[in-house]
Amino acid sequence: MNDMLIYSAVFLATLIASLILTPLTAKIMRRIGKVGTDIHKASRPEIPESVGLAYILVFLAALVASLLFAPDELTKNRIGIMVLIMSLVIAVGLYDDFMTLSAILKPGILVLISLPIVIFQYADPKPVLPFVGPVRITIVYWAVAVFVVAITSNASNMLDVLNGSMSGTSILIGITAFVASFIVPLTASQQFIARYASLALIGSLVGFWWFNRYPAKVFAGDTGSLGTGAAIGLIAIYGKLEFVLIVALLVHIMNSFSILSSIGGLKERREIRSRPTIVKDGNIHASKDPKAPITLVRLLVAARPKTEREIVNDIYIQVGFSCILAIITAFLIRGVTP
Amino acid sequence: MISKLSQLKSMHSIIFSVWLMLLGLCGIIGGMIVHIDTSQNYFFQIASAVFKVFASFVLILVWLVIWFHLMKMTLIYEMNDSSLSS
Repeated sequence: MNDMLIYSAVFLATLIASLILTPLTAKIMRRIGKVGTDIHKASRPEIPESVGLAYILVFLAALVASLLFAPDELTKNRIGIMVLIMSLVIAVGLYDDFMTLSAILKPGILVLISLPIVIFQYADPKPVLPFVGPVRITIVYWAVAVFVVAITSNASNMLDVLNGSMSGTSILIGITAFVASFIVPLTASQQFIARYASLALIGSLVGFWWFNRYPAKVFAGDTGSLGTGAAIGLIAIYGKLEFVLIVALLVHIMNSFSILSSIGGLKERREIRSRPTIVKDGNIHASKDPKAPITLVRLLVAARPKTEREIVNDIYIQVGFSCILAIITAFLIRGVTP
Repeated sequence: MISKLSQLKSMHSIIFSVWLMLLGLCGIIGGMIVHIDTSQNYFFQIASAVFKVFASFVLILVWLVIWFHLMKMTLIYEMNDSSLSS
Protein backbone atom coordinates (compact mmCIF):
# COMPACT_ATOMS: atom_id res chain seq x y z
CA MET A 1 0.00 0.00 0.00
CA ASN A 2 1.11 3.56 -0.66
CA ASP A 3 3.07 4.97 2.31
CA MET A 4 1.27 8.33 2.33
CA LEU A 5 -2.07 6.51 2.37
CA ILE A 6 -0.98 4.53 5.46
CA TYR A 7 0.24 7.70 7.18
CA SER A 8 -3.00 9.60 6.40
CA ALA A 9 -5.09 6.62 7.56
CA VAL A 10 -3.17 6.28 10.85
CA PHE A 11 -3.54 10.00 11.56
CA LEU A 12 -7.30 9.98 10.91
CA ALA A 13 -7.88 6.68 12.76
CA THR A 14 -5.98 7.80 15.89
CA LEU A 15 -7.67 11.22 15.83
CA ILE A 16 -11.20 9.76 15.59
CA ALA A 17 -10.50 7.02 18.16
CA SER A 18 -9.07 9.58 20.60
CA LEU A 19 -12.04 11.95 20.07
CA ILE A 20 -14.45 9.10 20.88
CA LEU A 21 -12.53 7.44 23.74
CA THR A 22 -11.47 10.58 25.67
CA PRO A 23 -14.99 11.65 26.82
CA LEU A 24 -15.89 8.00 27.54
CA THR A 25 -12.80 7.57 29.74
CA ALA A 26 -13.57 10.90 31.44
CA LYS A 27 -17.05 9.59 32.35
CA ILE A 28 -15.55 6.40 33.83
CA MET A 29 -12.94 8.36 35.83
CA ARG A 30 -15.63 10.71 37.20
CA ARG A 31 -17.81 7.72 38.11
CA ILE A 32 -15.00 6.03 40.08
CA GLY A 33 -14.16 9.34 41.78
CA LYS A 34 -10.83 9.89 40.04
CA VAL A 35 -11.08 13.69 39.87
CA GLY A 36 -8.65 16.52 40.62
CA THR A 37 -9.14 20.22 41.38
CA ASP A 38 -8.19 22.74 38.69
CA ILE A 39 -6.36 25.06 41.09
CA HIS A 40 -5.77 27.80 38.52
CA LYS A 41 -9.50 28.62 38.17
CA ALA A 42 -11.39 30.87 40.58
CA SER A 43 -14.29 28.35 40.74
CA ARG A 44 -11.82 25.45 41.39
CA PRO A 45 -13.79 22.88 39.32
CA GLU A 46 -13.36 19.10 39.76
CA ILE A 47 -11.92 17.62 36.54
CA PRO A 48 -11.62 13.87 35.67
CA GLU A 49 -7.98 12.74 36.00
CA SER A 50 -5.90 10.01 34.26
CA VAL A 51 -7.94 10.49 31.07
CA GLY A 52 -4.64 10.42 29.15
CA LEU A 53 -5.06 6.64 29.36
CA ALA A 54 -7.50 6.87 26.41
CA TYR A 55 -5.18 8.54 23.89
CA ILE A 56 -2.06 6.68 25.00
CA LEU A 57 -3.88 3.36 24.48
CA VAL A 58 -4.93 4.61 21.02
CA PHE A 59 -1.26 5.34 20.27
CA LEU A 60 -0.25 1.89 21.57
CA ALA A 61 -2.92 0.20 19.41
CA ALA A 62 -1.65 2.15 16.36
CA LEU A 63 1.88 0.91 17.11
CA VAL A 64 0.67 -2.71 17.28
CA ALA A 65 -1.25 -2.22 13.99
CA SER A 66 1.93 -0.86 12.35
CA LEU A 67 3.42 -4.38 12.56
CA LEU A 68 1.14 -5.18 9.57
CA PHE A 69 2.75 -2.47 7.41
CA ALA A 70 6.36 -2.51 8.70
CA PRO A 71 8.76 -2.72 5.74
CA ASP A 72 11.14 -5.34 7.23
CA GLU A 73 12.00 -7.60 10.17
CA LEU A 74 14.24 -5.00 11.86
CA THR A 75 11.39 -2.47 11.86
CA LYS A 76 9.05 -5.06 13.38
CA ASN A 77 11.61 -5.78 16.11
CA ARG A 78 12.05 -2.08 16.83
CA ILE A 79 8.29 -1.54 17.01
CA GLY A 80 8.03 -4.61 19.27
CA ILE A 81 10.44 -2.97 21.74
CA MET A 82 8.48 0.30 21.51
CA VAL A 83 5.21 -1.56 22.28
CA LEU A 84 6.82 -3.35 25.23
CA ILE A 85 8.28 -0.17 26.75
CA MET A 86 5.12 1.87 26.13
CA SER A 87 2.97 -0.81 27.84
CA LEU A 88 5.26 -0.79 30.88
CA VAL A 89 5.29 3.03 31.04
CA ILE A 90 1.46 3.07 30.90
CA ALA A 91 1.38 0.55 33.78
CA VAL A 92 3.77 2.77 35.81
CA GLY A 93 1.67 5.85 35.01
CA LEU A 94 -1.53 4.13 36.13
CA TYR A 95 0.10 2.91 39.34
CA ASP A 96 1.39 6.42 40.02
CA ASP A 97 -2.03 7.95 39.36
CA PHE A 98 -3.92 5.57 41.64
CA MET A 99 -1.34 4.52 44.27
CA THR A 100 1.42 7.22 44.01
CA LEU A 101 5.09 6.43 43.42
CA SER A 102 7.90 8.24 45.26
CA ALA A 103 9.80 11.00 43.43
CA ILE A 104 13.00 8.90 43.41
CA LEU A 105 11.43 5.53 42.62
CA LYS A 106 9.54 6.74 39.53
CA PRO A 107 12.57 7.73 37.38
CA GLY A 108 14.40 4.64 38.67
CA ILE A 109 11.62 2.35 37.42
CA LEU A 110 11.53 4.22 34.09
CA VAL A 111 15.26 3.57 33.65
CA LEU A 112 14.72 -0.15 34.39
CA ILE A 113 11.85 -0.24 31.88
CA SER A 114 14.21 1.16 29.20
CA LEU A 115 16.67 -1.72 29.59
CA PRO A 116 15.26 -3.61 26.53
CA ILE A 117 16.68 -0.78 24.36
CA VAL A 118 20.17 -1.75 25.56
CA ILE A 119 19.60 -5.50 25.82
CA PHE A 120 18.26 -5.97 22.27
CA GLN A 121 20.35 -3.16 20.66
CA TYR A 122 18.05 -2.63 17.66
CA ALA A 123 18.85 1.11 17.50
CA ASP A 124 21.68 2.53 15.40
CA PRO A 125 24.41 3.69 17.84
CA LYS A 126 25.94 6.18 15.37
CA PRO A 127 24.10 9.48 15.87
CA VAL A 128 24.75 12.21 13.30
CA LEU A 129 25.86 15.48 14.91
CA PRO A 130 25.64 18.86 13.17
CA PHE A 131 29.02 20.03 11.67
CA VAL A 132 30.57 16.65 12.59
CA GLY A 133 28.62 13.90 10.83
CA PRO A 134 28.07 10.34 12.11
CA VAL A 135 29.96 9.49 15.31
CA ARG A 136 30.65 5.97 16.54
CA ILE A 137 29.91 6.06 20.25
CA THR A 138 28.85 2.44 20.64
CA ILE A 139 29.39 2.21 24.42
CA VAL A 140 28.36 5.75 25.42
CA TYR A 141 25.25 5.60 23.16
CA TRP A 142 23.73 2.65 25.07
CA ALA A 143 24.73 4.17 28.42
CA VAL A 144 22.81 7.35 27.49
CA ALA A 145 19.92 5.58 25.67
CA VAL A 146 18.86 3.83 28.87
CA PHE A 147 18.06 7.24 30.43
CA VAL A 148 16.25 8.74 27.43
CA VAL A 149 12.75 7.45 28.25
CA ALA A 150 13.10 8.47 31.92
CA ILE A 151 14.26 11.99 30.95
CA THR A 152 11.63 12.64 28.26
CA SER A 153 8.80 11.14 30.36
CA ASN A 154 9.64 13.26 33.40
CA ALA A 155 10.18 16.38 31.28
CA SER A 156 6.73 15.90 29.74
CA ASN A 157 5.23 15.19 33.19
CA MET A 158 6.76 18.35 34.68
CA LEU A 159 5.28 20.55 31.92
CA ASP A 160 1.78 19.16 32.50
CA VAL A 161 0.91 22.02 34.85
CA LEU A 162 -1.63 24.10 32.93
CA ASN A 163 -4.61 23.31 30.69
CA GLY A 164 -3.31 21.95 27.38
CA SER A 165 0.36 22.77 28.12
CA MET A 166 1.64 19.18 27.84
CA SER A 167 -0.69 17.97 25.08
CA GLY A 168 -0.33 21.12 22.91
CA THR A 169 3.47 21.25 23.14
CA SER A 170 3.76 17.50 22.46
CA ILE A 171 1.71 17.98 19.25
CA LEU A 172 4.28 20.61 18.15
CA ILE A 173 7.12 18.18 18.91
CA GLY A 174 5.35 15.38 17.01
CA ILE A 175 4.96 17.67 13.98
CA THR A 176 8.68 18.54 14.23
CA ALA A 177 9.62 14.83 14.25
CA PHE A 178 7.41 14.21 11.20
CA VAL A 179 8.85 17.18 9.24
CA ALA A 180 12.44 16.34 10.26
CA SER A 181 12.00 12.78 8.92
CA PHE A 182 11.79 14.34 5.43
CA ILE A 183 14.93 16.45 5.98
CA VAL A 184 17.36 14.10 7.78
CA PRO A 185 18.58 11.21 5.58
CA LEU A 186 17.19 8.02 7.21
CA THR A 187 17.00 4.32 6.37
CA ALA A 188 13.60 2.88 5.29
CA SER A 189 13.10 1.41 8.78
CA GLN A 190 13.94 4.67 10.62
CA GLN A 191 11.82 6.66 8.16
CA PHE A 192 8.80 4.40 8.71
CA ILE A 193 9.07 4.59 12.52
CA ALA A 194 9.68 8.37 12.58
CA ARG A 195 6.74 9.13 10.27
CA TYR A 196 4.24 6.48 11.36
CA ALA A 197 4.79 6.85 15.13
CA SER A 198 4.89 10.65 15.07
CA LEU A 199 1.63 10.83 13.07
CA ALA A 200 -0.03 8.30 15.39
CA LEU A 201 1.09 10.42 18.35
CA ILE A 202 -0.10 13.67 16.74
CA GLY A 203 -3.50 12.16 15.84
CA SER A 204 -4.14 10.73 19.30
CA LEU A 205 -2.87 13.91 21.01
CA VAL A 206 -5.01 16.28 18.91
CA GLY A 207 -8.10 14.25 19.88
CA PHE A 208 -7.15 14.56 23.56
CA TRP A 209 -6.03 18.23 23.33
CA TRP A 210 -9.52 19.17 22.10
CA PHE A 211 -10.85 18.32 25.59
CA ASN A 212 -7.69 19.23 27.55
CA ARG A 213 -7.23 22.76 26.12
CA TYR A 214 -8.29 25.82 28.20
CA PRO A 215 -10.73 25.53 29.98
CA ALA A 216 -9.87 21.83 30.47
CA LYS A 217 -12.62 19.23 30.70
CA VAL A 218 -10.10 16.41 31.28
CA PHE A 219 -6.64 15.95 32.80
CA ALA A 220 -4.04 13.57 31.31
CA GLY A 221 -2.62 12.38 34.64
CA ASP A 222 0.77 10.69 34.87
CA THR A 223 -0.50 7.92 32.57
CA GLY A 224 -0.83 10.43 29.74
CA SER A 225 2.17 12.65 30.41
CA LEU A 226 4.67 9.85 31.12
CA GLY A 227 3.37 7.90 28.10
CA THR A 228 3.69 10.93 25.81
CA GLY A 229 7.25 11.61 26.94
CA ALA A 230 8.19 7.95 26.49
CA ALA A 231 6.70 7.96 22.97
CA ILE A 232 8.81 11.02 22.03
CA GLY A 233 11.95 9.42 23.48
CA LEU A 234 11.35 6.17 21.58
CA ILE A 235 10.71 8.03 18.30
CA ALA A 236 14.01 9.88 18.88
CA ILE A 237 15.92 6.60 19.34
CA TYR A 238 14.33 4.32 16.72
CA GLY A 239 13.54 7.10 14.22
CA LYS A 240 17.17 8.31 14.57
CA LEU A 241 16.10 11.86 15.35
CA GLU A 242 17.97 12.07 18.66
CA PHE A 243 19.65 15.43 18.21
CA VAL A 244 16.69 17.07 16.43
CA LEU A 245 14.31 16.10 19.24
CA ILE A 246 16.76 17.21 21.96
CA VAL A 247 16.56 20.69 20.41
CA ALA A 248 12.74 20.50 20.05
CA LEU A 249 12.54 19.52 23.74
CA LEU A 250 14.77 22.40 24.95
CA VAL A 251 11.86 24.15 26.73
CA HIS A 252 10.79 20.89 28.43
CA ILE A 253 14.38 20.12 29.48
CA MET A 254 14.85 23.74 30.61
CA ASN A 255 11.73 23.51 32.82
CA SER A 256 12.55 20.17 34.44
CA PHE A 257 16.27 20.87 34.80
CA SER A 258 15.71 24.24 36.48
CA ILE A 259 13.09 22.77 38.85
CA LEU A 260 15.46 19.94 39.85
CA SER A 261 18.44 22.30 40.23
CA SER A 262 16.56 24.88 42.28
CA ILE A 263 14.99 22.36 44.68
CA GLY A 264 18.23 20.35 44.93
CA GLY A 265 17.29 17.05 43.26
CA LEU A 266 14.30 14.71 43.17
CA LYS A 267 11.90 15.63 45.98
CA GLU A 268 8.31 14.90 46.94
CA ARG A 269 5.79 17.70 46.34
CA ARG A 270 5.18 17.98 50.12
CA GLU A 271 8.93 18.50 50.70
CA ILE A 272 8.92 21.65 48.54
CA ARG A 273 8.07 24.34 51.07
CA SER A 274 7.57 27.31 48.75
CA ARG A 275 5.31 27.22 45.67
CA PRO A 276 6.73 28.80 42.47
CA THR A 277 3.48 30.62 41.66
CA ILE A 278 0.46 32.01 43.51
CA VAL A 279 -3.10 32.20 42.12
CA LYS A 280 -4.83 35.51 42.97
CA ASP A 281 -7.98 37.03 41.40
CA GLY A 282 -7.91 34.58 38.49
CA ASN A 283 -4.30 35.56 37.64
CA ILE A 284 -1.10 33.61 38.20
CA HIS A 285 1.61 35.55 40.05
CA ALA A 286 5.32 34.65 40.43
CA SER A 287 6.45 33.85 43.95
CA LYS A 288 8.91 36.43 45.34
CA ASP A 289 10.42 33.82 47.67
CA PRO A 290 14.06 33.24 46.62
CA LYS A 291 13.75 29.61 47.82
CA ALA A 292 10.81 28.87 45.49
CA PRO A 293 11.64 26.55 42.56
CA ILE A 294 12.51 28.21 39.24
CA THR A 295 9.91 26.91 36.81
CA LEU A 296 9.04 27.92 33.26
CA VAL A 297 5.66 29.27 34.43
CA ARG A 298 7.33 31.35 37.19
CA LEU A 299 9.70 32.81 34.58
CA LEU A 300 6.81 33.63 32.26
CA VAL A 301 4.88 35.50 34.98
CA ALA A 302 7.93 37.14 36.58
CA ALA A 303 7.42 40.50 34.85
CA ARG A 304 3.66 40.65 35.42
CA PRO A 305 0.83 38.34 36.51
CA LYS A 306 -0.95 36.57 33.67
CA THR A 307 -4.06 34.50 33.07
CA GLU A 308 -3.69 30.75 32.54
CA ARG A 309 -4.69 31.11 28.87
CA GLU A 310 -1.95 33.76 28.30
CA ILE A 311 0.72 31.56 29.91
CA VAL A 312 -0.26 28.49 27.88
CA ASN A 313 -0.07 30.58 24.68
CA ASP A 314 3.39 31.83 25.74
CA ILE A 315 4.52 28.21 26.34
CA TYR A 316 3.29 27.26 22.84
CA ILE A 317 5.31 30.18 21.39
CA GLN A 318 8.46 29.08 23.27
CA VAL A 319 8.12 25.44 22.21
CA GLY A 320 7.28 26.55 18.64
CA PHE A 321 10.52 28.56 18.62
CA SER A 322 12.56 25.56 19.82
CA CYS A 323 10.84 23.43 17.12
CA ILE A 324 11.97 25.93 14.45
CA LEU A 325 15.54 25.63 15.81
CA ALA A 326 15.11 21.81 15.66
CA ILE A 327 14.17 22.02 11.96
CA ILE A 328 17.27 24.22 11.30
CA THR A 329 19.30 21.56 13.18
CA ALA A 330 17.79 18.88 10.89
CA PHE A 331 19.11 20.82 7.86
CA LEU A 332 22.55 21.11 9.55
CA ILE A 333 22.54 17.32 10.06
CA ARG A 334 21.47 16.74 6.45
CA GLY A 335 24.50 18.80 5.34
CA VAL A 336 27.00 16.46 7.03
CA THR A 337 25.27 13.09 6.46
CA PRO A 338 27.23 11.01 3.91
CA MET B 1 2.16 44.59 24.64
CA ILE B 2 5.75 45.92 24.62
CA SER B 3 6.54 44.34 28.01
CA LYS B 4 5.02 41.06 26.80
CA LEU B 5 7.15 41.14 23.65
CA SER B 6 10.33 42.00 25.56
CA GLN B 7 9.67 39.15 28.01
CA LEU B 8 9.14 36.63 25.21
CA LYS B 9 12.30 38.01 23.59
CA SER B 10 14.31 37.29 26.74
CA MET B 11 12.97 33.71 26.82
CA HIS B 12 13.76 33.31 23.12
CA SER B 13 17.26 34.67 23.79
CA ILE B 14 17.83 31.98 26.44
CA ILE B 15 16.63 29.20 24.12
CA PHE B 16 18.66 30.60 21.21
CA SER B 17 21.86 30.95 23.32
CA VAL B 18 21.42 27.44 24.75
CA TRP B 19 20.93 26.08 21.21
CA LEU B 20 24.06 27.86 19.93
CA MET B 21 26.07 26.52 22.90
CA LEU B 22 24.68 23.04 22.22
CA LEU B 23 25.81 23.22 18.59
CA GLY B 24 29.26 24.43 19.69
CA LEU B 25 29.39 21.68 22.29
CA CYS B 26 28.54 18.94 19.80
CA GLY B 27 31.16 20.42 17.43
CA ILE B 28 33.84 20.16 20.13
CA ILE B 29 32.73 16.76 21.48
CA GLY B 30 32.14 15.33 18.00
CA GLY B 31 35.54 16.62 16.83
CA MET B 32 37.19 14.95 19.83
CA ILE B 33 35.38 11.63 19.36
CA VAL B 34 35.79 11.36 15.59
CA HIS B 35 39.60 11.63 15.76
CA ILE B 36 41.07 8.27 16.86
CA ASP B 37 44.86 8.01 16.83
CA THR B 38 45.36 4.37 15.77
CA SER B 39 49.14 4.79 15.50
CA GLN B 40 49.36 4.77 19.33
CA ASN B 41 49.36 1.61 21.46
CA TYR B 42 46.16 0.01 22.79
CA PHE B 43 46.54 1.34 26.34
CA PHE B 44 46.93 4.91 25.04
CA GLN B 45 43.81 4.53 22.87
CA ILE B 46 41.75 3.29 25.83
CA ALA B 47 43.07 6.05 28.09
CA SER B 48 42.33 8.73 25.52
CA ALA B 49 38.79 7.33 25.00
CA VAL B 50 38.13 7.50 28.76
CA PHE B 51 39.52 11.05 28.85
CA LYS B 52 37.29 12.09 25.94
CA VAL B 53 34.17 10.75 27.65
CA PHE B 54 35.16 12.49 30.91
CA ALA B 55 35.92 15.77 29.11
CA SER B 56 32.57 15.57 27.26
CA PHE B 57 30.78 14.98 30.54
CA VAL B 58 32.46 18.03 32.11
CA LEU B 59 31.59 20.17 29.05
CA ILE B 60 27.92 19.09 29.24
CA LEU B 61 27.86 19.94 32.96
CA VAL B 62 29.33 23.39 32.23
CA TRP B 63 26.64 23.88 29.55
CA LEU B 64 23.89 22.95 32.03
CA VAL B 65 25.31 25.24 34.74
CA ILE B 66 25.48 28.20 32.30
CA TRP B 67 21.90 27.41 31.19
CA PHE B 68 20.65 27.38 34.81
CA HIS B 69 22.38 30.68 35.60
CA LEU B 70 20.94 32.27 32.46
CA MET B 71 17.45 31.35 33.70
CA LYS B 72 18.17 32.54 37.23
CA MET B 73 19.52 35.87 35.97
CA THR B 74 16.50 36.33 33.70
CA LEU B 75 14.12 35.62 36.60
CA ILE B 76 15.90 38.16 38.85
CA TYR B 77 15.99 40.73 36.04
CA GLU B 78 12.27 40.28 35.18
CA MET B 79 11.25 40.51 38.86
CA ASN B 80 13.37 43.63 39.50
CA ASP B 81 12.01 45.16 36.32
CA SER B 82 8.41 44.51 37.38
CA SER B 83 8.92 45.86 40.93
CA LEU B 84 10.60 49.00 39.52
CA SER B 85 7.80 49.66 37.06
CA SER B 86 4.99 49.03 39.59
